[in-house]
Amino acid sequence: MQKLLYKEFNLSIHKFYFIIPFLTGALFLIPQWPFFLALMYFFFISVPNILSSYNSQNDNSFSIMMPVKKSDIVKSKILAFTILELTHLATGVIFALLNIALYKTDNFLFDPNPAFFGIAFTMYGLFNIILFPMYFKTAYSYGIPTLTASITVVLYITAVELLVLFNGKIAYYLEGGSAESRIVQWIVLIAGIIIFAALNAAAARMAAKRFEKVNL
Amino acid sequence: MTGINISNKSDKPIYQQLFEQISSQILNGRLKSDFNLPAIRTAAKELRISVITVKKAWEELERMELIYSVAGKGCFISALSEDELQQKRNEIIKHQWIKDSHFYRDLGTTKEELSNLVKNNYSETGM
Amino acid sequence: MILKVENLRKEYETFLLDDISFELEEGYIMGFIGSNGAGKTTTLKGILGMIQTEAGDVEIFGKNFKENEIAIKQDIAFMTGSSDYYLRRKIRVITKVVKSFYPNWNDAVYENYLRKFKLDPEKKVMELSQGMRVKYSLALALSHEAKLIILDEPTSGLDPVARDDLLEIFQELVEDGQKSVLFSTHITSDLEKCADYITYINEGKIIKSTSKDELLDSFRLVNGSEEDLKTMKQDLISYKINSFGFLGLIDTAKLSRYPEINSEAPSLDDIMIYHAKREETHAEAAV
Repeated sequence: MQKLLYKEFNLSIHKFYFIIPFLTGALFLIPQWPFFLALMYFFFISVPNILSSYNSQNDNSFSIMMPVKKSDIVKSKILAFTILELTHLATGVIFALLNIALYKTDNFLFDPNPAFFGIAFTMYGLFNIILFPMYFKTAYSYGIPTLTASITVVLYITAVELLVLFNGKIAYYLEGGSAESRIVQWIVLIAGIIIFAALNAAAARMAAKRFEKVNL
Repeated sequence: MTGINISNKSDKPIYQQLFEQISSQILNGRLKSDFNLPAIRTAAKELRISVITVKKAWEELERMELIYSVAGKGCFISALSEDELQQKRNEIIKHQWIKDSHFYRDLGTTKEELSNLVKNNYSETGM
Repeated sequence: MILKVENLRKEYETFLLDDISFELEEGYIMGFIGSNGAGKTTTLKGILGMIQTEAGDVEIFGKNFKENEIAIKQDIAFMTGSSDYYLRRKIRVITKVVKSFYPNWNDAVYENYLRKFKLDPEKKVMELSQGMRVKYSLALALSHEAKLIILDEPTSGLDPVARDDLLEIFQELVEDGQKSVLFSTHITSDLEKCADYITYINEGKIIKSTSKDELLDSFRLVNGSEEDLKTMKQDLISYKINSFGFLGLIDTAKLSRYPEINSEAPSLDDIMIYHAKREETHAEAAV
């Protein structure tokens, strides 16, 4: 499993995709910006390109020849994607703190606070549980899986932004500065992390089951 | 050894080509007794033929008692007296002749014609 | 037995691989022949669990493959003809990753083969010729001491010199009597040189799996007049009519029924051609 992960980072996934999180993270410095978008560039740039490079490099056929379980191939890929997502989140947090320190004003859209990152975790979890079981049905076609997962998270985040904009009560808890609100925001973060982990585990199980039936 | 030449184009099975070439080298004295033949797998690699083919040729040579095998050391050319050599040579010539004679008989060649043919066309130096 | 395949079956919508059985001993080279689309690649992938088979058992090193997949894969190597993995990566980088998968990797052996095959570790896979790619795969296989090396069409796309070179390497590999090579090909001259055993597949079925000599002995090429053809038609695998009469292939066992007929040993090509022709005639009859 570690060997497969080592392979993902040394052969399968280009180093470029580990630099992108730092570039998109810097977008958190733009004042009054839809910050979820910075985290979503992963779906629009990295995911389709990495999946297509798996095809052009015959990555799955190579992996299956190594002394590994088919299910570990799936797990290593999901783990590699998870690490990329966490990098996006980590750079996001760093630049979000910079943003807060620099501008000291409330954001028109969702503020980059703990609740924001909690929701971001659920967004990545949602994306993964749609993408991977669909992708590993063929381990080749990535267009429809990527599109379906992307559209779903775009709708999800739009709904979240609209709720915070138009529902005062939700805005109070998720963006407010009161002690009570801050507690809720941290709870959302923790819940987000748990949901992210649970969805990834489920995605790995479902994807592995489908990958068993794939003829490489 | 004076060399072995295996042809894929020949009608003869490869093991037979190998058998004939080695046995003739033994019988005409070019391969001396107790000469160690190469190991089956080495010979196969060097001659670019299959292991099974070499095995079969070696087995045939052993059956004719032209070679003997020593466990762990490989195959050696048998020590044969002049008489024994002569006897084996005759055996092989007879064997080949029986095969060839079918061909001449089918063409309706008479004994006399054949012996004339041999007299006029056979050269011991191979020219 | 280093490899034992029993009753392998794989169904596709338009193709059926059925009842595939054969075995291979340690220390031998087996050629796997058949025309394009006969099921060679499917069989090899089925053996290695790369595709899901509907039925059948595979034993490698005397152990059930499915139950011991990871342990068995430590000691085998599989290579596809094109070997176009990570074309834009350097050999050095690929080796570093491959090496991490095999605990019994031997650096000295690897370095040795790099030198022997004249492989430059700083070159990218795409910069290697087809023949060099096959050699690189072999270098990897041998460095983790693979005992069973399975290659899918390793000689296709190679020039005659590179092909001969590769076949010689195969023979060197089996020289110690420990390793076996199974390779598929549709170039029969590859096999005439080095194969000990031949497994012949046609239309998803194994026609024969035996030593090369036995395979060649089990069929005879016959020729005769059109009159002869009438009497023996039903016993021929297939035949071609020409202005002198006919040419056909027959099972050697059935030849004794026709003591008068002329016959000669077929080449592997003849065996393949007449079997393929039979399929054609059957297909036409069905239409």
